[in-house]
Amino acid sequence: MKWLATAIAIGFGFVVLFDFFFAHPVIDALGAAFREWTIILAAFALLLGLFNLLNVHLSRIIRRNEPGAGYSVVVLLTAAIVITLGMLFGLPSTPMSWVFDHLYVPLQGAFFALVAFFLATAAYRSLRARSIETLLMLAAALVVLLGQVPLLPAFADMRDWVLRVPSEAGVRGIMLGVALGTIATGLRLIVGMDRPYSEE
Amino acid sequence: MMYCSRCGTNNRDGSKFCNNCGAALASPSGVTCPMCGIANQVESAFCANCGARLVPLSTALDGEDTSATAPIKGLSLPAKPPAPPDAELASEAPGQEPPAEKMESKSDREPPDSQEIPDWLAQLRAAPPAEPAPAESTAPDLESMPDWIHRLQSLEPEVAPAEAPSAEETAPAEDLQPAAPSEPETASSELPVWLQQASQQAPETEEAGAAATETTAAAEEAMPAAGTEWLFDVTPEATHEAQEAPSPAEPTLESKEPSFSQLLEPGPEETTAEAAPAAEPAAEPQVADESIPDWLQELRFEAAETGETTVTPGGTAPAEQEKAETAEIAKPVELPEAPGTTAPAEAETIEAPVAEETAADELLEAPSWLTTPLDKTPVKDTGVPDWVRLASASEPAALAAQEAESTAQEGEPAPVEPAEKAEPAQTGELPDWVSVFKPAEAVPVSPLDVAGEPVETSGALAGLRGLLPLAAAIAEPHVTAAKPAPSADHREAARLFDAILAEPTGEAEPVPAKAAARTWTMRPVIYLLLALAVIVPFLLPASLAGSLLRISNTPTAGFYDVIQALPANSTILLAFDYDPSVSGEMDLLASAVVRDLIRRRIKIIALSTLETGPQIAQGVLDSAAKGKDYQYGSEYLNLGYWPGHEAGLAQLAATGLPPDKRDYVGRQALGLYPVAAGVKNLKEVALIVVLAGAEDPLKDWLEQVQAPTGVRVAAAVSAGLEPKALAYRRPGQLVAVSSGLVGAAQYEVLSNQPGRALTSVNAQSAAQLVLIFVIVLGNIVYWASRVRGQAT
Repeated sequence: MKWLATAIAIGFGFVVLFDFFFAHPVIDALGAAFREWTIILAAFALLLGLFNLLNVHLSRIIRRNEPGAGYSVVVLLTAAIVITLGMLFGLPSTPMSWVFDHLYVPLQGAFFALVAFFLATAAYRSLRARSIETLLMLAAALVVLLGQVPLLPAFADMRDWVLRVPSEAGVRGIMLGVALGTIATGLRLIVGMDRPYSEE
Repeated sequence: MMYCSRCGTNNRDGSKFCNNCGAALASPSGVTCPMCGIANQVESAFCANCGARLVPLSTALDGEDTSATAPIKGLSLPAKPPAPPDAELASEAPGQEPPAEKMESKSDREPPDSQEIPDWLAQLRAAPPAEPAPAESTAPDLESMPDWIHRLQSLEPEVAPAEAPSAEETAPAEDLQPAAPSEPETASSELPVWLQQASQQAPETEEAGAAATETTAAAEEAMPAAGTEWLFDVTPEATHEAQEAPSPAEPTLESKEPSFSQLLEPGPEETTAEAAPAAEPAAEPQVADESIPDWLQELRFEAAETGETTVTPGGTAPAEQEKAETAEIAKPVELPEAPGTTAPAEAETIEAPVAEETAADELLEAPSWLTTPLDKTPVKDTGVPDWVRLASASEPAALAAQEAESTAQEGEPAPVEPAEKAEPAQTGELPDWVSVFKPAEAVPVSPLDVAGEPVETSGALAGLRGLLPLAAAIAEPHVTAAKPAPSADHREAARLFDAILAEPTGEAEPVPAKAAARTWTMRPVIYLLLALAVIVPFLLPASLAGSLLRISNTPTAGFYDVIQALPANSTILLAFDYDPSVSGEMDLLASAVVRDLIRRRIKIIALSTLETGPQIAQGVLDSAAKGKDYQYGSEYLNLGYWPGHEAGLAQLAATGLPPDKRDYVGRQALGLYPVAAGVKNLKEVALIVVLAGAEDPLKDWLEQVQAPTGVRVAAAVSAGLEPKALAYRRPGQLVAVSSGLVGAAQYEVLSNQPGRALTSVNAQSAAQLVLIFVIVLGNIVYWASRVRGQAT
């Protein structure tokens, strides 16, 4: 039955591709239908993720002697509370907004704020002028940092030049390479050379 | 045209013999068909004219199917002549003789100069059969012989051209067999020229008495075409048949028939005391040593030293005496056999073939056509170059030993064979196919040098000794430099070492546990500095950074200009595509933009492609609209989560806002909200502002929405995403870009709505200054330690 999966993938891929390039009522309708199916499947993927999370942590709790089983209990309890609140009061309700604004957002922000400390220690140990290349990298980092500081407006123009010329050139090169790779991967999928859906 | 290799005469294509000299015109590089005489390609397995097999089938091992054996491709040597059907029939039906015209063709050839023949081949030829041809022996089919055998045959063209055909024309083999004893007095004039010449080289032989001449003639009569017929008259079938039907005249022939080599006998005084002593020494005419190649001299030298002996049963022919040597010689030479014929030299005792069979069975690796003639051909070992003998990996020493054993059973003493003298073998005279076997460098190796070396036991080099003189190299003593005399320091060190060793061993004193030294690092200092840099600025007035911000000619200024260019009461789509991790930065930027939009009474439709985006959007919108008389539903709307990422955005670009979709707050259809009622598709929105904290949402909006619809898209992104967003700005995919906390502060300054962004940018600037300090400090420490390390 692998040929059936391959045929379906190739057929759907060509329809969506033609829908992107050509304006035809039939193709447009087919493309719209296929996109709707994709959105529904993506929503189901969220449910699958939730079920997988529950399965993993429930298994860890059942085994008992598994290290970190207590954290799994906390995870399951938290999930149960949030799901219950959401189903009882709705998503934009006050309880849900409180949980989101006073638990989820601060925790996420705190984790992200720790990156500043890690970056500081890493910069102390790593950003050292050991060679010409590291010296150039160090100089660019210092210029951008100094240009970012409003107190030192003299470095603002230098920062803009670094971002506008060398940095943007490198980013464009990377993006073009990624785009070419995406095209090649898409063509391989469409013509059936790569079949991730058939476990090959 | 075909040129005669002998006289150079140009002959017609297809000619078999030269019109001038009568020499065979077969292509030297081809294989002549034994049936039709057409020259074929060397690699041909079958005749291109008549289809006869040109390459023999190799001997099958036990149970092996010989029909599956592939022909020998690329064989440059004259292959074993195939067994033509008539020849096979002849071998199966003793007494049947070949056509007379084929024999005549042999006699037509002009004898080449005997000096052109390698001596060892001449010796082979001169070696006489010990016994007359058995009853089933038939004349060989000359047409089936390869060229090189033809040439060998042409060496003795005058071998009784009258007698042999006449004897064969009588057809029955019985007539052939008694021909030898019936005509024992063959005149010397009937001898072949080459025999006569050989006799002239040894006049003492002929002068010794008529007995030798008579025996020679008798042997010649007994063997039609006696000079080379033995080369192809050896087949296992014939041997078996010879055992089954021995000739009644065999005893007589054994006792009376001399060997051909007796003609070459230098004299009776040089012969041995054997009954047929003339065979071995007579085959080796005297040759000047300087004309002998080195490898032949070595061979002769070895033979003289070892004193090869042959156990000869009394009363048997010399072929019996030399059987072991024959096995060693004839096989490397790869003399082909002529199928369907039996060798005259097969006049052996009954026991001999049995012993040979046993030996041959043991040698399964060697093809039968190689091993069989060796057993029958009475050839002297010394006449064959050593390298020819070594070329055969399957040369059976056991064969000779078994042969000796079989002869020893006869109870006869084993006479010591006299040292044989190798005939001079000029290299240039060797046939090409024989020269192939000759080593490139025929440098004689002293037996003393390789005496202790191992012998190769397998492969093509089997039997060779001293190929890898590793033992000699290992045996050489190592040459080491003389040790210098120990210095005073060395003596003192040795004395101390001895003293330490002499001290009695005692209990090791417990080493006090060394307190773990705390390694001081810069990490706490860096953390402390960074914390202070973030906290302290919040205590400072916000105008500090705001007064120093560069506003003009910045990306944020361009972004602000785009917002200001929007017409009043226009609708924009605001995508909150960032998660709470970057909300500390992005909320300030989003809030600054939203507040300006509300101030300008721009209608906002918010959505998010992330699950957490709708709640963030709702919080930003509500806080910005608070107190601004900016109503939800009529002036701004939150669509909530827009699933599907790329597919969802593509669907949004294709179908616009679906009127039945419910909003995030009121859970009602969009058609019920006035702000969304006027937007059928995305082209009706004035601008799409993407608030992105990562690259993927921004790329999705540009690829799936901006590209197909052409709607204007502006991006307000985090500071980390600014380099990538600027890459879309220059081509025009993004109409404006604002980034990070600095962008938020700049926007607040531009919109004259100071807020938390201006306060936060102070802390950010202080933190960045700390970071710069840390980097510089790290480099100072690094270079200081490096300079100190070099100094030490």
